[in-house]
Amino acid sequence: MKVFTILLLSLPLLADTTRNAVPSDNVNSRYTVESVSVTEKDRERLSKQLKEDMERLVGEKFEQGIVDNLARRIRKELRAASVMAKLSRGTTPEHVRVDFESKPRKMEEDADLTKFSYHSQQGWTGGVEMGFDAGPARVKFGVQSDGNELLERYAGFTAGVAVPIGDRVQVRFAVESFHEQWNQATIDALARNTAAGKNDIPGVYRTRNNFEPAIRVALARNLTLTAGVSFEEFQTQFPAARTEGSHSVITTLRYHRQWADSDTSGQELDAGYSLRAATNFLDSDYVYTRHLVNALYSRKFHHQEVLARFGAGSMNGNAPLFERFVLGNSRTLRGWNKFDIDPLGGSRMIYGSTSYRYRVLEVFYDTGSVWDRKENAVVRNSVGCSLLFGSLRDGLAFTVGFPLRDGHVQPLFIMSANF
Amino acid sequence: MKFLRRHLFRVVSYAVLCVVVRVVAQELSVRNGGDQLHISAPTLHFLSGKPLERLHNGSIVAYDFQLSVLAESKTAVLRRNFERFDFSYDIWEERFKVKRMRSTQSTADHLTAAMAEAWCLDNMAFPSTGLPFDQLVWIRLEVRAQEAKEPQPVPGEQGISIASLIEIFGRASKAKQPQYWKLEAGPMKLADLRSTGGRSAD
Repeated sequence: MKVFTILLLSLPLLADTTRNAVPSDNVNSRYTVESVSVTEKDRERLSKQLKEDMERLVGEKFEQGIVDNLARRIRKELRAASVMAKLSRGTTPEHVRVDFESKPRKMEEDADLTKFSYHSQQGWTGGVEMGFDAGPARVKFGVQSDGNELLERYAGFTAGVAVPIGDRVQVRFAVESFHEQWNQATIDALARNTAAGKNDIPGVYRTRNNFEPAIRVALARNLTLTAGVSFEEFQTQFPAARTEGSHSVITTLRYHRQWADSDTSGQELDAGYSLRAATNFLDSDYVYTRHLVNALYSRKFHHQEVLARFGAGSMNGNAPLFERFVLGNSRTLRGWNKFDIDPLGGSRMIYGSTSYRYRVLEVFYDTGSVWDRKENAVVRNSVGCSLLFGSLRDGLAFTVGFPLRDGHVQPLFIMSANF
Repeated sequence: MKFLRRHLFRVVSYAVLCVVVRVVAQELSVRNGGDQLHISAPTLHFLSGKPLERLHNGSIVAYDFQLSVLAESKTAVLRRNFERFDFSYDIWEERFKVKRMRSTQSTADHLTAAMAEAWCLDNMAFPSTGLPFDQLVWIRLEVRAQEAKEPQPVPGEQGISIASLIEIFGRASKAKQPQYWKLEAGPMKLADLRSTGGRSAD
């Protein structure tokens, strides 16, 4: 029995080799392919090259090996659990139709590392998110500790549920709960600010909780609009512990488009505009408006890739610290430390970056400025290189960044995974 | 207590084994045609279930056959014959084509399901020379349909994700899929077969 089991396990290898060696043992190989199809939803997600290769089957004799290979490629591009090719009679004799049917994964996104980086002056940042389907709804849970994105290090959990309504609308509810840690440079800068009699920047807080219901509408094929409200509550630390609220209306318009020339070549454009407006109407203790635009364009050509990023932001009114703009982390002004640029961030920001990759080597140039309304903007630049595994958008990078400034040069080491 | 635990373990193991190895109680007939042992199993229909569905979808489905001659105790294998048959189903003619893959390759087509099954069993005959004709033996036939190729890790997907693990462990047990058949005949003496010129030994 054991011998038979071993032989049975080994026979598929023998059979597969045999099957690849001969053209086809399939009796249907004498028929001509009349059509090749996938569902319309799947078709939209396939690359141009793959769709062309599928079309190329039409008019040819049915070949099992080619169809199996196409099924594997479709599965790869759709990230499906499986893709099965089903053969059926064509409309004319001696012709067959090939239909590829995909089966989605039970957990499409499963556990994702949503953020991961190390900055030699700002420490570690990491986040994991787990998602699953509950009927039509998609539920997500995540934990994270982030000392990279904002002035504070925030650590805690996130949870959310997204429910689709039809093909174009999605209702989302998100909950966040964080504990905060502050860099001494920020606390000292706030103390100086208070001593100077300026009260335009609120103080630090120890916890922050957010509830954010929103609705996302697909306005066009590549254009989405998200609108909702954010009820953010935080417990201030000085001068006394009390809970304050920053309740705002949020709106995001995003355009995303990919052009895939082939498996290794293509372009991608991602651009967005976000508005957060905290008003008394929502019983907010803070009143402000925050505008942010960002754009990204990447062009990939075999082993080479170029990426350009741009971002700009402006804020009016009295906003809590988590809303202030920051530059000088693992993604922006690489080589600079955000606490050296401005430990309190700014209410204005502009940023640009250009990166070029050849195989695993990336070189970049970053420029940007963060300032407050009544101050003059100081433009800072940095250059650097990275050892990159993956693409400029989705890769693991070991980066050395050099801030361009007079006097001494103090490079910074950054390890980051982009998602 | 230890005895009870061991006994319970045996019972559970046996139950699991019964589920894992789906023994199909069907008739296996053995006859001696000259120097060769021939088998037939008119009630065995392995062209069924998922494998048949895959065939109807135009795929090739491979079936592995093993024919064994066992000693009376069923612990020693006296002779064994392996074979693989590739099946495909003609979408237009609704007939099967079978190809013998391991030994001398031969093909039969335009077959009904019953004819295709019988053709495979006909091609499982093996020489009876050298076998102990005066001892009691068992004849066992095992048939297994190869599953569709397991999805390979998609190139570009790094590592093993939780989703892929769930996919692997969440699949229905192979034992629950009717893709394995086992038939036995005996105990019998091969000499009796020869003396009678072939008989059914159920």
